[in-house]
Amino acid sequence: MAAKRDNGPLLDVQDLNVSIPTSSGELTVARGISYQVWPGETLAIVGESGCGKSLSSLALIGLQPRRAKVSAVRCRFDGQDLLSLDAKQMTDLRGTKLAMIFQDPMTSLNPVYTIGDQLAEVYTCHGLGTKRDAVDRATFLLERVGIKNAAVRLGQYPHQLSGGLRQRVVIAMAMMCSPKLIIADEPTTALDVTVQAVILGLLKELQDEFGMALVLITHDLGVVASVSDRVAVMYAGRIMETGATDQVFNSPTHPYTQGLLDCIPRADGRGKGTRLHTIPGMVPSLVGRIDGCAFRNRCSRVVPACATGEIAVRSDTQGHDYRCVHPGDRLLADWRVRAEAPV
Amino acid sequence: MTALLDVREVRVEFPIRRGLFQKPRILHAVDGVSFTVKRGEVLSLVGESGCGKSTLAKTLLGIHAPTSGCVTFAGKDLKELDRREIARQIQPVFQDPYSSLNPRKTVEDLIALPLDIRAQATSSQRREAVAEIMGLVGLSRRSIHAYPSQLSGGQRQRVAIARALITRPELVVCDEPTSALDVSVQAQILNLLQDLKEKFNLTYVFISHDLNVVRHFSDRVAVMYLGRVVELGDTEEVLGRSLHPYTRKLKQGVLVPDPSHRLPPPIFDGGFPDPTNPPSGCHFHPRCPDAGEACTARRPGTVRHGSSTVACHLYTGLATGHDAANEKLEDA
Ligand SMILES: Nc1ncnc2c1ncn2[C@@H]1O[C@H](COP(=O)(O)OP(=O)(O)OP(=O)(O)O)[C@@H](O)[C@H]1O
Ligand SMILES: Nc1ncnc2c1ncn2[C@@H]1O[C@H](COP(=O)(O)OP(=O)(O)OP(=O)(O)O)[C@@H](O)[C@H]1O
Ligand SMILES: [Mg+2]
Ligand SMILES: [Mg+2]
Repeated sequence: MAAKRDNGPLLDVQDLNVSIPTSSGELTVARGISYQVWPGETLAIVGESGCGKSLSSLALIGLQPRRAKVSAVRCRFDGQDLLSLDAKQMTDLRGTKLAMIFQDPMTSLNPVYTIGDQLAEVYTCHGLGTKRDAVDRATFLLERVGIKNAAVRLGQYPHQLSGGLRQRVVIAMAMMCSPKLIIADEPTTALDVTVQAVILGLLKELQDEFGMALVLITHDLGVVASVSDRVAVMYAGRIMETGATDQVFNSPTHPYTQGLLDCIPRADGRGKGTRLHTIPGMVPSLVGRIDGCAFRNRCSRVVPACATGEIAVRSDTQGHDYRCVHPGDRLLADWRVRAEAPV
Repeated sequence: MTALLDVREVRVEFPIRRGLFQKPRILHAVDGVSFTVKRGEVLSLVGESGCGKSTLAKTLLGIHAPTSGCVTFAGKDLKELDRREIARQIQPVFQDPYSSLNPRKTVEDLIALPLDIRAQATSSQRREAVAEIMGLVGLSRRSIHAYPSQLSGGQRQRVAIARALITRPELVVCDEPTSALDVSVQAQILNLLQDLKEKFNLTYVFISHDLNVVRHFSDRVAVMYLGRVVELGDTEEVLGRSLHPYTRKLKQGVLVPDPSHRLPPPIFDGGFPDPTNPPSGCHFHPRCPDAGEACTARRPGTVRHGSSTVACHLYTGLATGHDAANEKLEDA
């Protein structure tokens, strides 16, 4: 959808650094992360497990581990500087204008309270209405996320729900206060394709209706292609490539992005019994400095220039940036063939 | 060849309490499921969230006893085996590499857990077994004293796989083993599961929402809908030809990694079925484009078609008024 860009970005992150002291040294999970999200827009963040997607997002809303150090040149959300809010202001913001859907639904659900009490609590504690209003809204939202018989579900405890049902409850919870921005960490990972389509469709509807923006952390490249406006590809705490979704998928420039697209299993079943493409090697340790390109030990096009200094951001096409000194044309890739083959 | 695993008419029911004074309803999480799995085979379970896949998986692991029906493993009824015996031969790999590992235990202790439960290994045997399995699953020795919080998602999933394999089980029940992982780690884990399968002649029951992964990885697929298996057969038959209308719908929901395909229109209009009060007859009938009278009235029996079986009145000959089944077969 066309994001409204007249009034500046809703979320503007410039040079975010997040590090955690550990016994083996300083673990840096965000290394100069910058991105912007406009009202109504969906930014997808993809990348290797452990590259810092969750922590860099949690740090924005003050939910990083206690020992973590967070700094940024700028971290503005809807006119407020996120890093200077005190705990109370942050709590107020989190329930109302900004909501987070956590990777593990049990992070948001308390096992000893019913679903209904937890949904209502979000609403009433921010003074948005009475308990009765809250229950009405909870019922309405549970039905919107496809939960039948909401009245029964409201009386149940989290452990009585399947993984997918729990996740839908958490999504409903994020929507209780009609936020301007939802940061959703793997919101549909636990869901089957039909429910996933419903949830993604619902999030889209809310975006169109209320101009809500979405930061979508996911490793499902089908989801990214289907719903995001822009993509940021992260590796070892850095954004390696960012651009409009079709730019990144149609002309992936960073070798890591290209490798990632190659790992998708074929949709036509012809890959059966064969080994899947993998990216050889391992992610580098995030402890300490990383000189040069963090991907270079796994890159087939590595050259001496990759080993030194900071790899600068480059751009060939407006809005499509990458950090690579030898962006090659993508070798003939068969992911397109896969994509077009019927399942 | 006789089946390693034989699941017969298994039902798992949960009482659902609504109010203090209301009669509890019964939720049929697994509602009369039968299938067999041969040694060395991969059977995948797919279907909508809440259709009973994990409940069935837990039944195979002996965590839930079936309310009725029986599970036979290597010729023995699971009911007659004690938990330890089951755990030696059937091991789980769960979806969530975050919550399925105790955060206060080191990798070594996590992996050795099944050995410690049996308390048979000496400390040097234990150390050796852990080192060997870590090598097999591609965990570096350096992480042996690490805690789960210090590992990436992919490494945690390797820990879970190492723990599952340390007792050399015959059957591994994988409940969404790669859904928390990015595609490059997913590819590594799937290759690893494939290699280990060949090496140890393992048998897998594999649960995943990703139909492309299922198609790549499994020999046979069972499609479940509200607690029942609606279609079962060779992967290519089920996901290629797809006899059951639900299987066809499920395929339409697959999102393609190509931005020129945007989000498809909703696959089903209207709401989701309520598992505590499922539709009559064929549970799928309210969403089925081909539903006829028989579908609301009677639960369809299972019909064999080639290598597949399908539970749908289009194929039982009871669907009235059209040759839909034949049409389906022709356009397949
Ligand atoms: N509380 C913590 N203490 C120390 N290290 C941590 C902590 N939480 C996370 N880490 C480490 O920080 C790194 C980044 O973690 P993060 O959860 O942000 O990764 P991610 O990109 O979200 O991965 P995934 O796709 O697996 O969810 C990982 O290497 C992880 O092991
Ligand atoms: N302990 C329990 N008590 C009551 N109901 C339960 C319990 N465990 C599961 N259920 C219900 O049984 C049904 C099947 O749940 P199950 O977890 O097996 O689904 P699933 O197919 O694994 O779904 P998902 O894909 O979302 O993980 C759901 O309706 C769920 O709410
Ligand atoms: Mg994460
Ligand atoms: Mg499940």
